Amino acid sequence: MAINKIRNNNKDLLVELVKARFKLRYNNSILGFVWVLLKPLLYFLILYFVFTATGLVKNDSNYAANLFIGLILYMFFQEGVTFGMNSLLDMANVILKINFPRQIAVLSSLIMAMINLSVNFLIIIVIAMVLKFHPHLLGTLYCLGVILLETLLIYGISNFMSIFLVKVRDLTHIMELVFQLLFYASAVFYSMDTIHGNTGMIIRLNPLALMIDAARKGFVLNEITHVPEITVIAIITLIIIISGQVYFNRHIKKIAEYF
Amino acid sequence: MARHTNTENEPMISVENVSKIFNVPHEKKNSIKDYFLNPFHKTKNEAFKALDNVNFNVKKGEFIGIIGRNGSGKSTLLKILAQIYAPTKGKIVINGSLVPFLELGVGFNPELNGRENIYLNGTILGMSRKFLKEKFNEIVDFAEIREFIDLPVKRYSSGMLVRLAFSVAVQARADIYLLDEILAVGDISFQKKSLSKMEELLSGGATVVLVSHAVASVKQYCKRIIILEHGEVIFNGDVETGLNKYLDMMNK
Repeated sequence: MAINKIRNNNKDLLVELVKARFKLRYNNSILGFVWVLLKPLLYFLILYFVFTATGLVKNDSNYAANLFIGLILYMFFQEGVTFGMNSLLDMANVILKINFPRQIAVLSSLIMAMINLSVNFLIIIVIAMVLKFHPHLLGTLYCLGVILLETLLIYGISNFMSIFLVKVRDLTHIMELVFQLLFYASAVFYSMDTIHGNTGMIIRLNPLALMIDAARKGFVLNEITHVPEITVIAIITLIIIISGQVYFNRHIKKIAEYF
Repeated sequence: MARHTNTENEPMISVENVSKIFNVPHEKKNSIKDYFLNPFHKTKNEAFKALDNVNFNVKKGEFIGIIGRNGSGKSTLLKILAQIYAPTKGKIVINGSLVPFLELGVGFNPELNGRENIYLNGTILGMSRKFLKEKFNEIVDFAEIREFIDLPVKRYSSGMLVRLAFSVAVQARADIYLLDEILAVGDISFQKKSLSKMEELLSGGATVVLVSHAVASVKQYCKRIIILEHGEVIFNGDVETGLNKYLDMMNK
């Protein structure tokens, strides 16, 4: 019976939303999808140039690899949270007309960010192959585990942010500044090991900096680092995900009235 | 949406003591600047009661019409039935799958082509991709846009767009349909075609709630009508008595 096909389609809706968003994002540009590759590469070149030319970075023979991994993990966080934050507002016209599981909107934005991350990760693998760099299994698995943790954290945060943005539109501007700060405070273009002192504490306690440092030391040096800190971040992430779900489900019923 | 087993007597839709109150702020305050400029000044909210203690049931296979003046709460009620708004008080129970036709072409994107919009709009309306694939040719032929299917819909004429949107929507199969007016769109020949398609869809034992201003279509299709006035149900009964009352009201 055709009736059974109605509303058993959450997965199909998710697929179509991701496809549509993807096409829209890269539709009208000449290079299209190549931008996903180009953006981090160009960012990388700028930062690499600035920090090697000025001599601000010394004694790091793996600087290029460290920088690139830091950069794509930072960009993943920024894109993931930004997409997630906009997910409900972007679909306002649909949300006002049809009742579909709203969580799908948030999920589709997370998947968008994950696709970009996977493409960027492919670049790392290609470069590693060209340079005949052999990543170790354990370190790579640790790196992937940390990325999974980052993904979950993004999802948890998105559950809050998507609702916040509908209620307080200024969040877009505020988040621009927050990301600016986060970029400098996340050990993207420098090593955590060089950070000392009291103000450095902010960086040493920044979850994103810790995750970036743990991921790249795992992948590049095959070192398993920051295990206690990562465990704490995992617990915090779990709490954020659970409370995010509760918050989302409580507020989503009334969200249509705020558009 | 959970599907419950439905016995003959159990209503498909039951609306129990539903009230809907909107808080209408005098000045809209959703930027932080407003809070900073005026941190102690609480926004005065005016409570607007869009629906006031509404009760009714709709049985399986019933075709009911909801009529009333502009601003009487019809659209709010429809949105509550579609579960887009939550009632402030009371509750609604829906026994079965429901498709709202509040607007055609929900989710249509001008940059995407006809084909992509069929899948996007169709899945938003609750159809599966497999189902849409099976119905794809039927949709395209019914809309009479085969040669334009791979063109972005921003290049479509408004007639083509509305034909495509109608053709997708009419494929939705559900136990309950919510309609904002009887949908007959396009030029005269397509209007005829779409009207008979719509009737075909609605006549197969479906439960229908129609909100309309068109007395003629209410008379033609509905078996029962509900009149809303200032958010309250002031009439719930047979069509003839109801329409007379409604016309009297409007002439006052």
